[in-house]
Amino acid sequence: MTTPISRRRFLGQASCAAVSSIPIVSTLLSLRLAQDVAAVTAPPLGEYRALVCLFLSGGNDSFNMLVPRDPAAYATYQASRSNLALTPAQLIDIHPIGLPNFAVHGGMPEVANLFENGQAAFVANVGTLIEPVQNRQQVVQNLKRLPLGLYSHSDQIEQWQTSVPHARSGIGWGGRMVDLLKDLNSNQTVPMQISLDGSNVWQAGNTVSEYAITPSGATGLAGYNGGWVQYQDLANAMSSAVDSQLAQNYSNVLAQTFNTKKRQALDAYQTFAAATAPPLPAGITFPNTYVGSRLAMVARTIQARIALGATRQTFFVQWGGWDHHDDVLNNQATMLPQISAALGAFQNALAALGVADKVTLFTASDFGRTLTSNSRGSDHAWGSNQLVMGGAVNGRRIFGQYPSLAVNPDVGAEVNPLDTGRGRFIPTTSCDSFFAELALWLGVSPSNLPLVLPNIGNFYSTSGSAPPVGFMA
Amino acid sequence: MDDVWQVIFGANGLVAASDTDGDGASNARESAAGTNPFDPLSRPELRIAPVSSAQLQLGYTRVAGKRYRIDANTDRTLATWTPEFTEVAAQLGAVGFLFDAAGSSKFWRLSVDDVDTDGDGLTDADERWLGFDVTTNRTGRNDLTDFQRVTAGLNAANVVTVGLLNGRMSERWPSPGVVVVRRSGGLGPVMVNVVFGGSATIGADYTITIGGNTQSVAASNVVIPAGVREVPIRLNPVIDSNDVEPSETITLTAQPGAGYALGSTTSATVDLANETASSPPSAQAAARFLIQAAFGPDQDSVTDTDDIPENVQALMATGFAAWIDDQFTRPVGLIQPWVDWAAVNAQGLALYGNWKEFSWWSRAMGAPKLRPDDTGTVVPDPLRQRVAFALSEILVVSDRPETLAVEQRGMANFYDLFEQHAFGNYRDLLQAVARHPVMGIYLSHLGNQKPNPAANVFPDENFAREVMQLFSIGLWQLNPDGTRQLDGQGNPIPTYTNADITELARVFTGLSFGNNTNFALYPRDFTVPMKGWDDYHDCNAKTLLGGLQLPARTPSAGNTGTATMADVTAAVDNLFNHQNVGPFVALRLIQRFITSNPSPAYVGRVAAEFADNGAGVRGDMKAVIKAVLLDSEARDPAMMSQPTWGKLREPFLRCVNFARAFNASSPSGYYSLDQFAIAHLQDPMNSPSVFNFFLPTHSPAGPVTQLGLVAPEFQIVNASTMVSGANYFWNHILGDLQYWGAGNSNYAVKLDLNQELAFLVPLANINDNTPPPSPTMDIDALLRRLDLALTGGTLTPENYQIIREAMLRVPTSSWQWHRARLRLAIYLITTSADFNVLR
Repeated sequence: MTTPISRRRFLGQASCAAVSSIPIVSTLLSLRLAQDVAAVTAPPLGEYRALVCLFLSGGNDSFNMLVPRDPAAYATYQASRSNLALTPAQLIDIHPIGLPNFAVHGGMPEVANLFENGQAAFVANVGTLIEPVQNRQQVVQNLKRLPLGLYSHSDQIEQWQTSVPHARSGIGWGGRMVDLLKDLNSNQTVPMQISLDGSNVWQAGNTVSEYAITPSGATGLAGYNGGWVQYQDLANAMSSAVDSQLAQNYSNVLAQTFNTKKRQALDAYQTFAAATAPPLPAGITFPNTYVGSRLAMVARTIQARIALGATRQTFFVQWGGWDHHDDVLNNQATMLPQISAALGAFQNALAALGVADKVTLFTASDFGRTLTSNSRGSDHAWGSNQLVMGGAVNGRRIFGQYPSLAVNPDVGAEVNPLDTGRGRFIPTTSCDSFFAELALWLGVSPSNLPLVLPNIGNFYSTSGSAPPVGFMA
Repeated sequence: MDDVWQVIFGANGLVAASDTDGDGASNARESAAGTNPFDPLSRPELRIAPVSSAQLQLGYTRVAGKRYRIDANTDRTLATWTPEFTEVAAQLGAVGFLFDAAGSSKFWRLSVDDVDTDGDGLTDADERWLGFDVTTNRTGRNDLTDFQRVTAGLNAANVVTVGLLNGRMSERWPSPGVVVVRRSGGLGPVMVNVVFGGSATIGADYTITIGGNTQSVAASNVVIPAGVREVPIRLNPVIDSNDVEPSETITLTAQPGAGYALGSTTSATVDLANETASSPPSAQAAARFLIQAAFGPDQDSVTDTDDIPENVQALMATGFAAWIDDQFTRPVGLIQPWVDWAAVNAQGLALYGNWKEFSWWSRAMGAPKLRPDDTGTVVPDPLRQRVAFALSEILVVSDRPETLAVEQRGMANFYDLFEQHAFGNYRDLLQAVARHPVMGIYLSHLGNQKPNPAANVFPDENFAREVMQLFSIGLWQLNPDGTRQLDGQGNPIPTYTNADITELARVFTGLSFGNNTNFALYPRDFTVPMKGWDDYHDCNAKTLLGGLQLPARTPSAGNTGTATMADVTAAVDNLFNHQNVGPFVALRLIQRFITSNPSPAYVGRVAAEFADNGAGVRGDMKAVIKAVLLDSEARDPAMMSQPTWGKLREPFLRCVNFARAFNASSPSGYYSLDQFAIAHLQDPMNSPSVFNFFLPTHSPAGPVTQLGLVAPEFQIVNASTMVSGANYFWNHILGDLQYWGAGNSNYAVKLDLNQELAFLVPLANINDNTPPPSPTMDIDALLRRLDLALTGGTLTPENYQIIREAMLRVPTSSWQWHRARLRLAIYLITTSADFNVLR
């Protein structure tokens, strides 16, 4: 009996008194997490990876963002979309490897450029699924389990962020990913997940949540001193009182949550503001748009990664206003160019910061929209096309299967088994596969994928060597 | 020996080499270890004890702040010991660890010494005894260093006073009366002799809680521990069956004693109101109700002697139900009249901004006229205004789309549907909303046309979907108590299929601007309900939700739209009569007024009133509102101490509460207030989408989620707005309430703080830059007033102390110190959990 007392054993016994009064509902999961986190090895010095989610809320009509240019397919596109079809003059042709020509929306020259240069790719007809669905008979006859609240904004926004389409949940796949990875960052004061658009489901984990900032950075508490400052009686008194208030414990969970969130916000601000103070390198500019100003702040945060002690980060940017039941052509002609210009600027900035291949941006949206018109716009649908961008992306490719755009007639023979009506396409690539590719790249181990994406086993064998989709190099 | 240790244990004068308690450890060693020199069981020692035949436990007792090291050796005679464990104890208490009994012999020894983490000359143990922060040399950002404070205060004389934090107790209201025993000067422990007096009888009428211990007999002293400056004494009312006894008093008086002198105020008296089950509400109960049901307490009038706001007193006089009945009779406070006036006059007055929100504020503040040039006046209708606001968060439109941003009169006209129908019938509201052109633009059924399959053109499904999902029945089949119905596999059951949506979309075709002579989109008047044009309406037969068959209709002659409206009316009736509507609306209204997580029984009781108001009428909003506000769960004060009860105040509404509590106004009488979304992510009629500012199901990560609860308002209270929201209060308490400034002093909306300032300085000196303190300056009285007006009297004694001491740190010699102190008080209340969480 000469074994030295280990610190772990000692603390383990000493902490028995600190039993929480809150029942832990997910003890099993927590235990698994604890073991998995322990298995994560510290990354080499200077290593860094970040994932940026650009969420176009409202449901981007993405079959006008990525359009087939093969003559027969384009003719089908025109017939199905009728007055919503874009003319060749409203498109920019792109040349994907191994496929006939496609085109992106004419307002997206920067994206076309990134694609042609191999820094961007598309994933076609991706959407929420519980299990693979082959055709509309399986939908109509309820032969497969289908996502809850298909075609509904709130449900589909939630499911794109949870990847749990069989249940309602406020925990996102980004949050579950960071539950596993958070210890990779040496400084935990500023959370691994940064949001430019406030609270969101994607970054909500069992143990983590987002750190919300604005395009001008983190917001500091007016009149508050981090420490004592001479001749500042009012600020010293106020700051000390705020600290004391936040140290109070409340038995009411809402009051306690309020205090905890405020304390975390003040702590994170001190670190974050100092780290992100330096401007971006001279010559790096962003368009002064909703998305442009946000991606500029993302770039500034990435620039501060070492000061923040971050080796992994996620960023959430959400731009609303894509629910184009009305005037879809004019609205997209205004909005897609803003996306494109901002993405071009962002990739330039990443290159200037030397992290072009360490940051991957992906778009997401509630759903695709009906291929057919409601005379002025399009309605809620299912599968959609999404963009992935970054130096680590297998660029100039379209992944998944771009579907035939033929629409089944109201009466008569079926011409497209994927069309459930009005050009609402059954997804041919699941959100789970799409997200699995991104999660693996960020550092989630294959065996841990089911913890992040509970249904992944329905689409992908985590023991195989093939990637889930293949868009990450 | 350690000076702080001597004061803590009263060990002045002990001889270092002696062993006073005879426990084998000299007084010097007890001082070094931080143990009690008068207690033979308290001494530095390493204990070893068998816990089983195979295991032994080694342990010692920690003193917070001391450093412990355990060394081991295989032969105690050897000089070389190997350190096995070191720690600086974070808290008091016994610790131990196990080891196997088998094996060769081994020896351990324990060392105890001090550390000074912040290097300020005080050991961590000293700092922890005194409640100081071991990580800074200036605990609490004090002007004096910790060392200076200890040097000055350790053996200083104590001056003891008594304060009153809550002087209002009611027999059936659980929040305790609170008196506080304070000391200034010293840091060491002091025992203050006290006497409880007054006409109330301890045990029968009240109990006492001191430091977590509740007792039914009077305490003869109160111990103020080392480093502590005040000890609150909670007086808890006892409900008795004597309903005719008079109201009584409880007085705590400090008596002379050892180690302190008495200050100027040595007693405090709490009033204990006799209260029966049918008594009218107490001031705190009434204030709480007004925060739940209206816009909170007003500022107390300067003309009476009490500190209870008049709207609180009015409610105390009538009781809750009669107050609601009276609100039902009040004239409708429409917001469009002011916007109509502004549309003509505001440009000339350089009154720019969001007129519909200016008008909103005017109604919320109870302005006497609906439009400035009215000749008559109206009485305020705060309950209607709150109900309208709640409904505007269920049947949502937003001015974010450009078309609606510039359509202020139309938006006001739409909002007035909520004013008009707040005390009407939900069915009429649903139909009016479905026909309003603002909704028609927002959810795009205005101009929607019958299908043209040959061209692959189909009706717009937007409104058809949201009217079901968000305005009436929701996604899942509900039980009458709002819980989800489950199928045989335990899964929730959807209320509708996509086919139901496409059928309903056909109903909402052929509607366009009601002022127009044809289906075209111009000219447009957003204040006229949409009209049907049967030529553009899908007149074929339809099968609606639940299998309701609508017959094929014959288009009207002369464009009267009878076929269109017959379909719309039938569809609205079909939705309104769905069993989900009651529980759906009930949960949402309860969440807006009372609590985020009502019990199913509560939801069920409100839903039952929705189903039948007692006179066979479904959808009667008066019955629903009464059920929400008067439910036993909403009114039972015991719920306030439930850990899951209550709600986060809506970030925007806390600004309204704040404005009313200090009677905000401008010289012009206008409330040119808007742009609250910048700091609070919330403004009337400005949500980011049809899903409102927050979802009814939002659950912030952490304990709320772990308990399976929701807290919708937290969706817009994040790391950014937690700070920007607080900054709004800091920046605007003493200035204009306008976010960017008023531009014109005539329009500047400011709080009226003169009454509050008069608690600190003589009324005549309020506008001085360095006024003399009022001879009777009573911070306690000021805080009691603020507490009632802002939190309904729920400020904790601990929060109260924090705020009071912060105020006292602003020197009375500094510029506008009285305003700085008041600003601190209001800021620290409005940004605290006590204010932000309504219980």
